[in-house]
Amino acid sequence: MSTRLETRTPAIRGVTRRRSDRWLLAAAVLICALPAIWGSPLYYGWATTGLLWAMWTLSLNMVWGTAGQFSLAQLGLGAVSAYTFVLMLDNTDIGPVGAALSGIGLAAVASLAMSVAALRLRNFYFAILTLAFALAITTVFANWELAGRTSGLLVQRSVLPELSFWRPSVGYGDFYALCAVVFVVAYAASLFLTRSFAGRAMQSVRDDEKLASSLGHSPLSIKTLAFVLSGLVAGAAGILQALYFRLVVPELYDTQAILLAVMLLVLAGLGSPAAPLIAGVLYTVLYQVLPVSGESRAGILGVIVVLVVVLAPGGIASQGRALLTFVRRRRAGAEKENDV
Amino acid sequence: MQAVASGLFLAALYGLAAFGLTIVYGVLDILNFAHGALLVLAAYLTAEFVLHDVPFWVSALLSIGLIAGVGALLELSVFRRVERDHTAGLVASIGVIAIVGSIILQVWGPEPYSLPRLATGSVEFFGANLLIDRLLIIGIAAVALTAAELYISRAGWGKVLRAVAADPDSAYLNGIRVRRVKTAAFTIGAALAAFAGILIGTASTFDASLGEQFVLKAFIIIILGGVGSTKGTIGGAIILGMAEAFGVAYLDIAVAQLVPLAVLAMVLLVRPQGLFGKVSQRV
Amino acid sequence: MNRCATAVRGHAPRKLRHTWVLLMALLLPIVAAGCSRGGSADSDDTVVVGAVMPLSGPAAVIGQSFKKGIELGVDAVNDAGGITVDGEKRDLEVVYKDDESTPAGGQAAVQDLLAENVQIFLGPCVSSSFDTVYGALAEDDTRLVVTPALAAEKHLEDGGLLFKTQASQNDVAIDAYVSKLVDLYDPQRVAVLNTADPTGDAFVKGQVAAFDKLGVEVVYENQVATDTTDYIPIVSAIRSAKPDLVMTPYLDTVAAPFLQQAAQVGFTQPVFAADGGSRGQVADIEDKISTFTWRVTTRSPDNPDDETVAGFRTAYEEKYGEEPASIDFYALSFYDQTQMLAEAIAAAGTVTDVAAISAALPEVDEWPSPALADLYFDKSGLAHYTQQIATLRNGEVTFTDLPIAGE
Repeated sequence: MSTRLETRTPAIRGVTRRRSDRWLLAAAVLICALPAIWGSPLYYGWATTGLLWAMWTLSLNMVWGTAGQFSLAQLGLGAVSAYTFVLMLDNTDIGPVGAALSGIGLAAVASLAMSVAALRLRNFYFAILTLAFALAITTVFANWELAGRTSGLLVQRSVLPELSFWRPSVGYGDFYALCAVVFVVAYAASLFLTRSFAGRAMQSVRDDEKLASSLGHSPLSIKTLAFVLSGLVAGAAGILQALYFRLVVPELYDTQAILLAVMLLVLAGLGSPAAPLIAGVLYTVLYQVLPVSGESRAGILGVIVVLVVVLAPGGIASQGRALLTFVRRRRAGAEKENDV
Repeated sequence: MQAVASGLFLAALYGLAAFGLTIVYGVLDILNFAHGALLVLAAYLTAEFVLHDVPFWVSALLSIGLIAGVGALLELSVFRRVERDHTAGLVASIGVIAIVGSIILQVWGPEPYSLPRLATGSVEFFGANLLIDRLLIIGIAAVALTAAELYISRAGWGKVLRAVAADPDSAYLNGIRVRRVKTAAFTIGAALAAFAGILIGTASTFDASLGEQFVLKAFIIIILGGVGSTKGTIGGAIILGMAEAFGVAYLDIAVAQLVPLAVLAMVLLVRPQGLFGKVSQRV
Repeated sequence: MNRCATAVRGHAPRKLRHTWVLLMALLLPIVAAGCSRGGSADSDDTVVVGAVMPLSGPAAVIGQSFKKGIELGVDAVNDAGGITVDGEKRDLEVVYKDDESTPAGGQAAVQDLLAENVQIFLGPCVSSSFDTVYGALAEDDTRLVVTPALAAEKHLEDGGLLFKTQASQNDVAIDAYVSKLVDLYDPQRVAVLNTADPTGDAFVKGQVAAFDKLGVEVVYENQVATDTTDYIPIVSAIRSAKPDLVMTPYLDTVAAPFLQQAAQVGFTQPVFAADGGSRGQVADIEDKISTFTWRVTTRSPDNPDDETVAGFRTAYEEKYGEEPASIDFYALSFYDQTQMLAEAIAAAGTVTDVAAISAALPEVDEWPSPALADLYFDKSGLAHYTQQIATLRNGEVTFTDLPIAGE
């Protein structure tokens, strides 16, 4: 297996671009705020699903882009969390917050276990093991009486606590606000943590930066952290998705969904910190805004994916960067001419 | 006995599906998820020809040829361009799945299709009912796999394939036209997928989701057998086929679905290089 | 050095050409979409109803049949002069949305229809799709939902604006069918097989309980994934349990390969019976299976001798150029019901007050072209009609009525 994938790790490359983080975060907040301008349930609906996919890809980007491990288990982790959440709500008195924390915690623990497996297994094996994990999880839920088998379990948004100004069970905007806040917090945390740990990694390998980046070596701690964090994000995404659909059902986490997350992330730009934002917008455009049939949509997405992989391997994010550099150069060139 | 027959039948289909995948993975170093898509596309193409009154054997050969052509085209236009980045290769193959799936649904629709059966009737054997067409399929697969295995391990061309799989750079230095070999490997892989798809189609109905099931099984088999080992692939197929058949026969179906995954997890934990793989093998 | 890094450092202009290719690839479909979108379906001269159908995905075969039922129902309404509200004649218009048989598709479809101010929904028809949208629609009590989804049944007693277009598939109905089977065939040992999905769950549970109650031994019970291809191990397991009656899955796409492979190994002696499904289950092996019986979930439209479905058959042949198939009993989940809905709108004299329409629907007893002659909705919103069972023997199908306790 080549280490090419890991050389894309932004954790190491990106330390010099601390300022860009602030811009990204601002962009995230701005994009999240967009649907509020119109305030229509339709746009809130579109934006909520976009956010959910942004969270799935954020989770995948941490494991795959940052830790360099191609995992197909992220939706499986989301399933663990979502089912735990609903099962605990239905069968215990723990309350929504406790149930959510248990679900997310369990997803993080499972992700941690996976990081241990990743130490032992090479990329190909790891990918197939994670795919098997995800399928085993849905098979178990699809056959478990308590989990509603293939019918799944219903969950009402009214389990969420309500405040006088915030009623997520009825207001589309209110539930969207919850998703947006969770996403922005997760996104900020991912930017901050990868950066600060990457900083330490940089110190430790300062003497030979070239070697470090060419080998894609990152300290164990970054990888472990990336796994745990991605488990937390997948867990949160799973619970929000369950609340959005008011339903947990095995088919939400099937192979199709897993491959969709992979395609979205690569289209957006694997390893780029901006990727989850782009992926969320992509999903919204392709799956919500475009009125094409499900069959042709898959074809369109496939064609775009193949084109991007062949023509622009860095995805949309790297094209954006290229455009930025190009514009800057043109401007610099123009200024020089003016000087003369 | 019934379970053994079922197991051999599954092993035959899985073996054919996985063999092509092993060659592609070994030579091109690409995790080709699209293998299953080509497999099911071949079955649909054959069905289309048969519907237009083309004799079955001609249809099958035509489809295998067409799919081999599609494979060559894919290698030249897509996979060649990403050859040093297997992440890109993998993602491109996922894109190809989406495209093929979309084409199938738009051309043939969601209704399940089937192909003419190779033979009808069954024979009694130690109290088990064995279908003649399935016995034929097991026989065909055994012959095909043995021939392919012998070819790869003995014939000159097979040696070239193995050389490229083992070390493309020194193969190149030794005068082997590595690029051509890679295209050929992908073409052969596609043809084998088509062959498997058509055989599966004669034994049962199929729809667009067929490829997905088989490609995962094929990956599990490759891991069981040790990546890049063609002999291991055949062994892995037999193990998985038997495990599934006995699972369905003696366990709850729900539990049986978990059997292949459990076998995979066990192998990965105990012997990550695969049951038949050598520790030193390039993976 | 990896490619994206080179892009940043050296060759921006070359890479930019790719950007344009990408942008074009992304923008083309969006532009195309922009042209086809827009223009809300709401207008003054039509009454607009939204239909959320599984037109693609695993349930597409069923969804296409549902859609035909609605299309023919709409034609029947409009040919008979449309809907008169406030002395004004309006045509009935249905906006179809594909939910791709998935919850995500169901959400998207319903959001689209809500944005177009649709208040009356036909579907979603797939249980998971129905489950995910019904919660939201029920909270907002200005939406009327008319669906054949089995999952709707558990909500009927909540008193929402909900109607189920197929007769109950609850335990009472399953009991009735099972007792009929026991009357007809007097089985001693039965095998129960169905699909691993919500409807299959309900059938297996209900059938096992019903046979138990009648003292018939259930010797085999299982559920298979809908994408199973090899049924031989299941056939041999069932065979070794020696049943004299085998319950087959309700989905033709699962039951057909199962029965085919059973016939191949010569396992054709027992009676095969399906709750739901159609003659399509035994399509290629009608001469091999000794007896196949199925409950027609609505009414069988492929019966030329049946006067009640004659109008539907003529309309179907005129519109689609072929006779309805056995599986088009699914179309009858919407054909009469769409017409009844139109009658209810006219009777309520409003297109916006769905509570009034909902109150009028159980009162409807006449509509232009009935195929389920005695269909009515009870106060809870459940459809009732005389159910049919069909039996295939020696290539001949006979249809009989199935009485259900309390009907």
